Amino acid sequence: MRKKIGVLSIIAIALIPLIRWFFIDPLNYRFFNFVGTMTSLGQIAGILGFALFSINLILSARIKIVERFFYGLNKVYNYHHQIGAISFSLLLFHPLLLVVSYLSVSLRSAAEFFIPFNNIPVTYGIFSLLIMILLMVLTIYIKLKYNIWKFSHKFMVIVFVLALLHALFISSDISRDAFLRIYLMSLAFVGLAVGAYQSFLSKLINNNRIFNLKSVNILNPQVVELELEPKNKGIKFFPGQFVFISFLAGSVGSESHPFSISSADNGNNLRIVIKSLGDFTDKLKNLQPGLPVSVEGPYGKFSHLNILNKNQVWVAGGVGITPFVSMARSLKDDGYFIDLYYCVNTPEEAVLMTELKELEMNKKIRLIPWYSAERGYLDAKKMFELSPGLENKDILICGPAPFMFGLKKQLMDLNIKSKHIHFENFKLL
Amino acid sequence: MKKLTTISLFIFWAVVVAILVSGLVFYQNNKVKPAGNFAGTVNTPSDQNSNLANGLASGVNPASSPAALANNQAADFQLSMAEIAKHNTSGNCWLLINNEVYDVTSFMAAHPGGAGTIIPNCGKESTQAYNTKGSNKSHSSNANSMLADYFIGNLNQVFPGKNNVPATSLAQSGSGGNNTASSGSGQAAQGNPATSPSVPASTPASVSVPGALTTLNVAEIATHNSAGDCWLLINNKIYNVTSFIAAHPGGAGTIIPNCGKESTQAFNTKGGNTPHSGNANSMLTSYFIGNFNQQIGQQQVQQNIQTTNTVTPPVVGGEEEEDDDD
Repeated sequence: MRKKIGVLSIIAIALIPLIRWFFIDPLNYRFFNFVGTMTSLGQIAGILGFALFSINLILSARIKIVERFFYGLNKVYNYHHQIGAISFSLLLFHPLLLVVSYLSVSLRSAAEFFIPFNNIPVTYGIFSLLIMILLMVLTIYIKLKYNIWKFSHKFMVIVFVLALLHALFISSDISRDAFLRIYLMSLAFVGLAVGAYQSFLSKLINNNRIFNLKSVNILNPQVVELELEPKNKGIKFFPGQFVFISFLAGSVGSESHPFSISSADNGNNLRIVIKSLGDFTDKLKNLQPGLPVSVEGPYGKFSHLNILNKNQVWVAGGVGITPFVSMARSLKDDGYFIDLYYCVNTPEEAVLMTELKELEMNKKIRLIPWYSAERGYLDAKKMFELSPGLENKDILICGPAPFMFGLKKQLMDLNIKSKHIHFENFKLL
Repeated sequence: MKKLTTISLFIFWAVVVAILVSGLVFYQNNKVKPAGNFAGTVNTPSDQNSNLANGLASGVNPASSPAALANNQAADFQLSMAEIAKHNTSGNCWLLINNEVYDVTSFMAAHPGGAGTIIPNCGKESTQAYNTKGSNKSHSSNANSMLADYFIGNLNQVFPGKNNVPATSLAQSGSGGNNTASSGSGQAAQGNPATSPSVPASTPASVSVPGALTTLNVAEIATHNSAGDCWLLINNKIYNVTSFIAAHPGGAGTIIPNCGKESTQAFNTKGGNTPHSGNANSMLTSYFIGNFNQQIGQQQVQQNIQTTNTVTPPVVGGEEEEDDDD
């Protein structure tokens, strides 16, 4: 229940204007006949879609308080995706339901309803929806390069402003009812303010979060480790958290990307391990030390410290090892019993093995390298064999989505409860 | 979630494209009629000869006046001022705007500004009223193009044959604005006598007995106390606001409890302390029926009821209205 507080507040915030709407006019006039019902449903779709759109703007801004409500930024983004899809669908149906009343007059007036420039507030709505369709198609159906997509997605603010103008100037329940108007405008204002803070102010305020690139260690042809040295002051983080990093100069783009921290929580310097998955990460190898780097964060709730049970099994898939490296490096002699499964295809892919083996010697972790080329994929049954008493342990998994979800399902089939399985979903954005 | 957006996007474009295509194709068809007549539009009331020629030309052209072919044995018919003046009721309403005649009978119920703003102009020269909306606002371009649907002919245009006024809107009123019915034989079969100005018996307003008088007293007012038939008594004047209820910016719910009652206080204070705007006051006048205890003709009451019946609350028409629920 405590973990549901985030999603419950979303539902409450979105439903309040709707509840108000139901009390503005008697319902038998809202749903007088077929045409009236369609018009009313169209209004509901518009109000709800706009409220969810505002909420999504707030969710997208990586606000620390919001993250706390949702227990992890990755969950926030998860809701952002789902709410985005719901809001988009509602806004698509908004004109379709409203056009029914025009159809009842004539087909041509219905057609003219869709044509811009007849009526200014309607025109705002039309353009808002058209740009939104374009951006959503880019997001959902066309796989753009991350930096291009991210740039494109910022235009959602324009969509939102147009939607706001539409809602503000069109005569409707919003213009007639003070509560509805003030509520929706406040919500939109908070969304825009938070968005503006994230886009502009946070960068100005967090000036001290500038780091310098100290070294680039190539761990294998695909994986590099970057070491970052704070220019003024470091950041405090839990082992297992991640940061958004953007390079302020050099040959790579300046958009921010999320990466897990792999260094221990006691040093000033940050280490991040990056596997080359795309253009951006490919270019990191060629970076020259000394480059200024902006670091935003830390974010995330994924940490052994956030779990009461000190008997834990950590399961890393590929580069998903990074948060566990940070956790292992941070472990003190404080009663943790850890089995660390490190799943990769071949020993060559297993970066940082030497260091992990050293940590195994000194600390209470048991390292279980799992090379799937030799032993097949790791499954829950094998985990039960290798880690006695698995049913009493908490399991932390980090890796590619199919790996995590597959393993979770197998574990749950073997009666491990969902609340004992913890995730770090890497596919954030 | 991807499925949801895919399905929504598909439905969205399917509906939008369908409406745009059919609406615009239909628009083209529709334009044929006015276009044929606009060819010879430069007619002034004095220019009888050119009007005659123009009328004959349009009679020859089957597309512009299909009904003409069916009844061309009868006498010629001219859209004269006198003729227009006969169509002066809510059940049969012609407007003369910029020397063009429009039969807007079927549109009144859908008029975003309320039927009440049209009715006083029925059968009259209404250019000024149309251009200014009774104050200083002009109609939108959408409204202008909607008007074109109701075009009958030019002032003093002559239609060969007695019973062949292009029955543009009669066909529409039968099918809820579905103008596809207004071409071809369907129109001729629609019963031209009904359209014919010389046989007005079938128009709803004239069904009633013109002689009977009704006194607008408290008892009479009190009978109009429902959402479907709502009179208000404000400052000793009686208003039939039935057609306006759905369009009321403050919501239908604020009017309905006052139906059939003395509502001066409610109107002046909006149930609280805010008076209605000047615009609201002038809108109210469109719904005026008569003064308290005045005797008015049964016909007028009948007209009001007629308006009432055709104007169902949730009809939302064009885009220029104040209370457009978009």
